[in-house]
Amino acid sequence: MGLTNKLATKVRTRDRTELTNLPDPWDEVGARMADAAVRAAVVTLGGLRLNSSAFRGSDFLGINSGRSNARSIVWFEREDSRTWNVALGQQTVKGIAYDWKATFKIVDGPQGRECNISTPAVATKDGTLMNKDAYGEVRDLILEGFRLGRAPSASAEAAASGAGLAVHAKSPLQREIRAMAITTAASAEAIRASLERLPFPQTHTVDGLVWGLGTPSVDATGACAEAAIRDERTQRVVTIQPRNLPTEGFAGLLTRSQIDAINNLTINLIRKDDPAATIAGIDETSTP
Amino acid sequence: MTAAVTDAETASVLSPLNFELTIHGDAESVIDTVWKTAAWSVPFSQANLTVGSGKKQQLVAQTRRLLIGNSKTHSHLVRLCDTRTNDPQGGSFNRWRWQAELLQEAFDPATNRVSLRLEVSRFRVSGGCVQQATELALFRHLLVAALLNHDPDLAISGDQTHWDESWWPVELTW
Repeated sequence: MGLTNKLATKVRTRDRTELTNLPDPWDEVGARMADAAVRAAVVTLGGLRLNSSAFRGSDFLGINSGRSNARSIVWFEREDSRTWNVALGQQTVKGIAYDWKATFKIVDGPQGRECNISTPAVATKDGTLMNKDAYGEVRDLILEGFRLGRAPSASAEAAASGAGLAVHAKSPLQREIRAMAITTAASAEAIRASLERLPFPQTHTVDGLVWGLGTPSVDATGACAEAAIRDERTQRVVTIQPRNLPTEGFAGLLTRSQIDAINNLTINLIRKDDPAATIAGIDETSTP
Repeated sequence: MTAAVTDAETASVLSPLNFELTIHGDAESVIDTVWKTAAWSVPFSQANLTVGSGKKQQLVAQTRRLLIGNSKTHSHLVRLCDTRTNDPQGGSFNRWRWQAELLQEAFDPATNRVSLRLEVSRFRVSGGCVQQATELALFRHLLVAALLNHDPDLAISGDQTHWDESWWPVELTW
């Protein structure tokens, strides 16, 4: 029985080459169509509510496999404009426990544009490929998309996106945002030019500028970061001071993250002109 | 915890976005600053793991945040990753949830017009849901906001760019 199953798994996952109808020009049309076909297949597979086990190894009576059984995860990875990896399995602390991983690579062969399919990772139970039906289904969906040579409907993607947005993000980290001061040998003109490059609404002041915070969809009226440049002996000191940040809600969270981004961007830009610029007021280890 | 999502809000967070804008200044440097602004403005979150170790349970502290990297084919790349304090160099980068890349498709030095394309090149789906779609939707929205601040005449084509605050309820006070 096990031998028959092993043979069936070997046949099922053997390397294959299939003709496609993916059009030219490749980069502008064919690759985008292929990418959409793989995305559509992945979100369709992700909607099947499959289960995978994180357990690997010998499992008499299947007790350990059963204990570590949970909702499967489908991974989509585009390596380059011609290669996609699709995998099914479980996330473990040590990494991914694959049921299987399939690679789809588009090549220009003698008969036309072809898709080479390989299966670099396989897990079996009594010789049978784990979630074998899902493997066959996603492979056929992707190949069908490549054969049709036209973009699939985006409805599956939109449904999976909507469902994903309905599951809220984890608890945000409440980080302390403080004023920052950078001491630099760069000129006031160079500093001002750097500050003006930050893509936030700007108002110029006598000694610097003010960046408005929030976004077109996140109302944070009045919240801003004030930058001021002053001379100190032969150097310049740039201070960045948050003002009027909302005290609650998403706007409070976002504006604090935007201040963090402004601090880090300012450090990056000033240090391009003056690598020896020093910072006071924020923890430099938090700089991404 | 779930939120009601209306039809108008169910645009794909995975589909590409195309941008056309006029760059004021050095194109590479402007795009780099815009990209970092969007990535670094996405709030960090706690994504701690409870790990079984024999009969004991152990808590692994993780911070979910966007990390910027480089790719072979695209000049700008960002990943949402679960980071740990004592991770070795690059260790967190492999613990990804999704990845987005920005491709510069065309640049006309005479007019400083540039065409950019945002693509989601890695993601995970489970139980019918795109995982960490909230952070991805916010990143897309912040990227558009940053590009609009650079060029108010920005032309956009593609799917989700808007943001709804109900997607990330916040009960914190400062």
